[in-house]
Amino acid sequence: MCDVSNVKQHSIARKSLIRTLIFTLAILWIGSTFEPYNQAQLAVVLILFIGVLSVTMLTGISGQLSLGQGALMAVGGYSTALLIVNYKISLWIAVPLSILSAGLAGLLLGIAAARLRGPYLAGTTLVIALAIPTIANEQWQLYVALPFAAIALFFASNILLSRTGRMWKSIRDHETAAALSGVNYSRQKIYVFIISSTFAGLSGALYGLRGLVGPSVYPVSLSLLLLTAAVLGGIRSIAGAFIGTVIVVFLPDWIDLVIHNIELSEQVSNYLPALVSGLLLILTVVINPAGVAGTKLHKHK
Amino acid sequence: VLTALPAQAAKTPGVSDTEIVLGMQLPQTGPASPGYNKVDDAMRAYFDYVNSKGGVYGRKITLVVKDDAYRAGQTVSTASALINKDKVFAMVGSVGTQTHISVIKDINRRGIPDLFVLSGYSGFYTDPKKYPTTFGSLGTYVVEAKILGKYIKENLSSKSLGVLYQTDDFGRNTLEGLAIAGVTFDPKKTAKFVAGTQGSGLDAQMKTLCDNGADTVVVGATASAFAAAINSARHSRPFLVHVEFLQLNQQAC
Repeated sequence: MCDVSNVKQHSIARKSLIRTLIFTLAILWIGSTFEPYNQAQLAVVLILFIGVLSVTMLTGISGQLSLGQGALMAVGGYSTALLIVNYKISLWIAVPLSILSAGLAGLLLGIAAARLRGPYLAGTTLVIALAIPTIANEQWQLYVALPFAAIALFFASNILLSRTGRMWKSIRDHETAAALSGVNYSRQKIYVFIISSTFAGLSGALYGLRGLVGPSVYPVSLSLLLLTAAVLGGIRSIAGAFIGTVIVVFLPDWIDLVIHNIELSEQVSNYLPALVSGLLLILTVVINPAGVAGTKLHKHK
Repeated sequence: VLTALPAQAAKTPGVSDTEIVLGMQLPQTGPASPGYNKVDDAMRAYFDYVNSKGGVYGRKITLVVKDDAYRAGQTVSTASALINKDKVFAMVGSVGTQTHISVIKDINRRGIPDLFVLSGYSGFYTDPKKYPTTFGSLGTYVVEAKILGKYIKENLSSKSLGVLYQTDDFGRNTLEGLAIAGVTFDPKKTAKFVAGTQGSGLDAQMKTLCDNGADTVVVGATASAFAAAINSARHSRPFLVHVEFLQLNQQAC
């Protein structure tokens, strides 16, 4: 019995590792063909992908709704900034430490969440802004974001394929049934919050390193952007998280390409990205709730 | 700057024999946009006039404008687009304090002229060695607030003063300048809000000021936030004996 579960664990780890390697190589290859602007955009995709993974795990897999992921990103960003600026700690140590602090914030949220059901909103009123030593070079933004995104992908994939992932899905589907199957759902809910918060914290730390940590870097709309990306791509899968992130980050550029030669007033063109992503969101929810990555699954059902 | 161009035109990005490309980022959408979203129109109107007269040494000026919605996270992307995709020669008239903080280092590192920045944040200008390519177009908020403070001392010393400011370097600069002029505030009569969040109104802040007895409020915030503050003050007028606003920095952020 022990051997069987060991073999299973190994195969899960191997599967996740293969996914991660393919992902890393693909990004490296695509990144090398891009010019600086798109490399920077790709870096944003990788950074936000980690944040969207936190939404995927929290909402898609475990069924907990939180609009506060942007605030947890801010926790990660501020922790990194304060550690780097006040304690002169290197980026490579500051980022993992800020993941811990975001996890701690997630623990507090999770303790509350374990006693709550349904939607609730975590707002943020952070007031300080810190300019931090930033990674300005586009290529470096990409190469710093990539290892973190790869690690996040590996962990997310491992979790979702394992027993923990199945427990979380059972909580999403039916709490009472999950409890009857031996799942301690209060405890698992706290775990979900902690782990998804660490992802959000990592994402926020890297997002801040692009330029600045401040209230206008982590607005409420950032939380909504993460949720939009997760829903568009497919909120229940890792591939969906990545596809969704690519869509929300590159959408303004694609729209720009299409309307490039059309004379449009600024009053129209400025609102097009928001309009189109809003429309896509509605269409996704109405026509294809499983998102881009779930299209096949949806048809199959 | 422009007269030095012909000699080095070959290797300078954004300058050809026929064109000079300039980039600008400002809030065209979002809560901070009212008032500021016309800045590019005004600038373009002047460039159109210059172009109609033959341009600068035969070069037409093209202005590329990007909307950053007053969100610093987005400004990093719009600046990257202007620099890498549109290959601008210079950034002109960028609006916003926090948004510009997020990109000023990068712009200076690349040696791109950063002209007529529409923010009076003192940190951009007090140390020219730190940001050598950055030139402002406003007096600093500290100086502005100092002048206002002097006026307050002379004319409004009998009033019960309150202050409303946005919690970024813009708002803090305002407090700093007022303090230099000797105008300080009772912490109870101090209200603040996160920059760019005034879209939902500033009722709570104005109510607090009003409840704590302030009859004159100094505002250190964007134009749209100032408008929101006036609107909220109207709601609470029955509680106020006299409302007089001193607007800071109305024409820029």
